[in-house]
Amino acid sequence: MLKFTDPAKQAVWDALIVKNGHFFEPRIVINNVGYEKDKLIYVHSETSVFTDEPSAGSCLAGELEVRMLAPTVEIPRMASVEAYVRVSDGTTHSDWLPQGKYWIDTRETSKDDGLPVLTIHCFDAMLKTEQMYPSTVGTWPQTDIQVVNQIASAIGVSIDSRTNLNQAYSISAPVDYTMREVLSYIGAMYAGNWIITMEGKLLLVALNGIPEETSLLVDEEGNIITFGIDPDTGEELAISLVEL
Amino acid sequence: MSSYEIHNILKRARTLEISSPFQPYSGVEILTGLTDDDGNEVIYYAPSDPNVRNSGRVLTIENPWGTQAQADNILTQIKGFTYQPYDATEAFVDPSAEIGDGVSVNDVYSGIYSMSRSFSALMPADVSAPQSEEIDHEYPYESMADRSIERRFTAMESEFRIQSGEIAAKVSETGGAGNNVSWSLKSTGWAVYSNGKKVFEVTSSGASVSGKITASSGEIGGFRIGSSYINLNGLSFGGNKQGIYLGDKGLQLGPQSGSHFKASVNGDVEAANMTLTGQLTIGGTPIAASDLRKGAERANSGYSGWNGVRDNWNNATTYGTNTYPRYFYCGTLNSKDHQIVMGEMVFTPRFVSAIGLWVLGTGGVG
Repeated sequence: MLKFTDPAKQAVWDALIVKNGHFFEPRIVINNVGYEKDKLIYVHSETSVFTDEPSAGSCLAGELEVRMLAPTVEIPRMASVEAYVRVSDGTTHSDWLPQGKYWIDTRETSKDDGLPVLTIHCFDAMLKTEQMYPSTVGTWPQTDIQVVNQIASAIGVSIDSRTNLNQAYSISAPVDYTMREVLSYIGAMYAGNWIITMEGKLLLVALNGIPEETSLLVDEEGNIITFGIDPDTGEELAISLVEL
Repeated sequence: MSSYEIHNILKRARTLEISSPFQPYSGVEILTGLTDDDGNEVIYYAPSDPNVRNSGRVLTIENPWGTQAQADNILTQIKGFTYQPYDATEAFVDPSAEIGDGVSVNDVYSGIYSMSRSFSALMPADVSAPQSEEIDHEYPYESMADRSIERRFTAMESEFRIQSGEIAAKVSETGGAGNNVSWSLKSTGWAVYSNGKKVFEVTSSGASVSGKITASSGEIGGFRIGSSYINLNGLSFGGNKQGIYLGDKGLQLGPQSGSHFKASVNGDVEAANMTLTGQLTIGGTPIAASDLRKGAERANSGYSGWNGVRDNWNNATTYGTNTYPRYFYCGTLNSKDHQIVMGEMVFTPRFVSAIGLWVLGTGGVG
């Protein structure tokens, strides 16, 4: 779950998200130029760790499609595209929450009611792993985390702190392998699959990595019902058991 | 900043489809894509007992760097994990929800493994834990990797059949996937890849294979491949052609009637000339070059005692009142100590001669 690093910004988000009548607003930043709802017609994102059945070793690229009124400024080839969303009640807005960083793969221009429309299809940084691994660089074997660090560096992302490569498996020189294949094999070693997060970080999602199920009482919106603050931890107290 | 959290969708989705949970994971298979000395693929299993391994769901992964320890570790990690498939469309999920988060859907708990989202005022999302058409496997089944390979082979076969009449004109195609078997057909040649490595290639200069070749007959570079032998210039074992034979009868280089080297499967060796640069062992005894003497060296007077044998047949020696006209001996010459003498002795003054073997120990003639 993505959260703001600034607690104040997170508090605004948390307050608005449970408020009746809240709504969301998108923002797309293409090559450092921002476009909001007055320019955006359709924005759709897709991310999966696998699409068929549970497996390990996938490296699926996230995708973003944007239809918008064609900008007057020229958009360079393979320009970066960042997606954001904020929650609002009409008066108060949260800060922009990142929804992924992508790069344009294809673009198409058309006319809609006489207005020029640009449609772009984008992939996240995972697509950049479709390059040969430079196996002649460095001495081998190396540990899995060393190899993943090199791949992350090559595709210009950082590694999400939740990625847990704790076995330090030995990797022989990956001759004639793409970075994607190498990532895939390393992910499989930990029964996990790689994605690029909404913050644009490389994350290994373990197949069985979902948090343990809880039995906390929630309202009809799915929000956890709390009743006060734990004086020791300062955290809100949730109801986990009701006895009649 | 991110952490894995749980989202409660409840029934707040346009459609909800929840399937039965899969069987808990009970085993792991790592396909390395490598082959052992017998040509079999190296596969690591955990646990080793197939009955236990297949008692639930088996996670099959591909990894050329796989090890048994890795398979054991993965099993420790996923053993007992139950995958719960579901599919919720246009669900109201907080945009902060991420892949890997937990989700409670209509009293069923699972994870977000796939998510597509429309950026609108409500930000609805399709979230799911996907599954293939086959819901679950009560019985042993083909793994994902096996089916994937099978599909790709089938696809390749189909395309080649369809395009067989067009290959000459349509020469820039690739197919398959890098993870398993793929192919490339270009104007410069065509190639087959396995796990991203080129295993077979045909170009204008010929064909090359990287990996295992199995052939029961044929010819490579002048070497003829028979059912149980390879030979050059038609030489058979014991034959008289100038060639090479390597087969079930042994090895032969050169014609039997001329200079040749021959080693049979029984261990019989013939060689026209031989130079040994290493150790020679006869009957289990190592023989060093210094152990071997030939004619002139045997007669060399520099060798005496038990380290050598003298040949003194032409020398006459008098020892005490006895004369040894011709003899050879071991031990110290002209000493009564530790001698073995074989030869002719003349006893004086009685002039009796004898031929025989004497052992001369300390204290006199034996």
